[in-house]
Amino acid sequence: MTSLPKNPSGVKLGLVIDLDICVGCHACAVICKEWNTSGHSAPLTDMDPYGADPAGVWFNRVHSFEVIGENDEGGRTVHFPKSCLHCDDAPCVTVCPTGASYKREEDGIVLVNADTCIGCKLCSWACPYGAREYDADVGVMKKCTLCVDRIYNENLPETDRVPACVSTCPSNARHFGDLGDPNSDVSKLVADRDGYDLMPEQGCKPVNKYLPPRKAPPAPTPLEPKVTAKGILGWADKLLSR
Amino acid sequence: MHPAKSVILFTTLSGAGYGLFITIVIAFGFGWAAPNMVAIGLSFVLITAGLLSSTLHLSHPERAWRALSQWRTSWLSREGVLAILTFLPMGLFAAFVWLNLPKTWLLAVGGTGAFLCFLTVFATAMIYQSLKPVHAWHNRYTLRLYMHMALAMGAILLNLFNEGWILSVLVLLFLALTSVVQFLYWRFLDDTASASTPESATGLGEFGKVSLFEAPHTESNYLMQEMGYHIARKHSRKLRRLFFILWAFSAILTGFSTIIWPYALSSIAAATAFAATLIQRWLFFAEARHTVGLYYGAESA
Repeated sequence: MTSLPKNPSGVKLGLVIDLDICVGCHACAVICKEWNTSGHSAPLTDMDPYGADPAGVWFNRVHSFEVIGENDEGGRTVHFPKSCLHCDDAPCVTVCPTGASYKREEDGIVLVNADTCIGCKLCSWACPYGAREYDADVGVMKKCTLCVDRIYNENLPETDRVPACVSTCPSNARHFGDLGDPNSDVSKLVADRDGYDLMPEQGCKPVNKYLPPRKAPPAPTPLEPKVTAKGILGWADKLLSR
Repeated sequence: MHPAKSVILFTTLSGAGYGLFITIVIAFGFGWAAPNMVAIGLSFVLITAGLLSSTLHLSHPERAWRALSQWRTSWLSREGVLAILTFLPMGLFAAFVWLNLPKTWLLAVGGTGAFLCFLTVFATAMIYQSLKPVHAWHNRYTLRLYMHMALAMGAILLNLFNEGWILSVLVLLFLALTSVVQFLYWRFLDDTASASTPESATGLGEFGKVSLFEAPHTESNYLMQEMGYHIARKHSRKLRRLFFILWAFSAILTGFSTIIWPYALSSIAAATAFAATLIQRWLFFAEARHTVGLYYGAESA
């Protein structure tokens, strides 16, 4: 159904990405591809994977941006993982003509029903973030599923019931939880670190939040010099300190 | 945005077909031209050719019937529903004309058909106009461009079937109006840019100027192929000039067709105008940027 849910439950599952910590290792990109060799979106097709011109479908792309301060003072490199932000007001859901693109009422996850998708690609045009890709092999659109086949999976131990990208991040830069609950760990993290939306002017109300790089603490002030002894002791002190 | 041939063909052919039917009904209503079965047939052929072109380019055309279900939210779905509905009064109009039924009957079904044709073009234009990430489409010019183009092509095609000068005046009027809207639209494109920037796309603006340091991968991907295409400024300027030249040439030929060689000149005028429409529609895609480009090195959207 391509109308947005009429009675959303208030649960908004999503990710929080910490741009201060991400080291750009791409482990999250690799494991997303690995996890999705089976499950909801499987398989993610690669075209000409061992040839000269490979291309393929994968969801979690890690961009790297360079940010140059004013007057060219300093620069920083920020590694920027981006996947579907599971927006509250998802335009990809409302533009779909067949109802294949839908947002779940119970947790807000946006998914594609591969059995009814006609591959018109309008949803990928409607998404400002580039979260949706076309799988040329099967002719349907695919996107991040927030590991819906993993987070509710009773066959996994409870600690593993998080999206694959969150479980594998070696620097703990990715967090998963209910951003609709102001008391959840992720919501507190966002409030604490001033987490923000990407492109809020597009009006999609993304659920995923990004934590900005921390500003460097001010340089420490030098210690006051110790009071030196005077007279003979002071001379001995200087001699021995050389 | 990548200009897909099937979409360009669909919007130009179907647009011309819908425009033709609307002008047939208007011309009939005002007594400028009697309804011509060949012209009506041509409008059916153009609309159907356009619709087939867009349906067959889908990866799953066998599921296309599902696209009629989401008319509550999706302009693409609304367009599909309207396109099918439009065939009914159009078909009745054709039948009534053939059966030589009274004018009031013809105007009733013809008027309904023309109105539905208008709504269908409206829905098609709104598919593009409603897309916020594409600044070149998300503005008030898109709807007007589609409507004007459809009416202009429709009038020019109808002129093929009539020797009178009234229709030629109508054609010149539509050509002139379209030129104005087109000029204003291209100036809007040149003078404005999207509110989204690399800084708003990453949220890192407070730290300074943001630029792409390293792409997420070495090879291309679907997003870059579909939405990364953008024509170089000097090429787009040439094509814009070509559009106006062809459009003006079409107007001149239409004017002369009232004096001499009516069928020959109006045919060339129609062909020239159609070529111009293809260029315009191609540019509509090629000059459009998408905000996803901001993540792949574009400095503006």
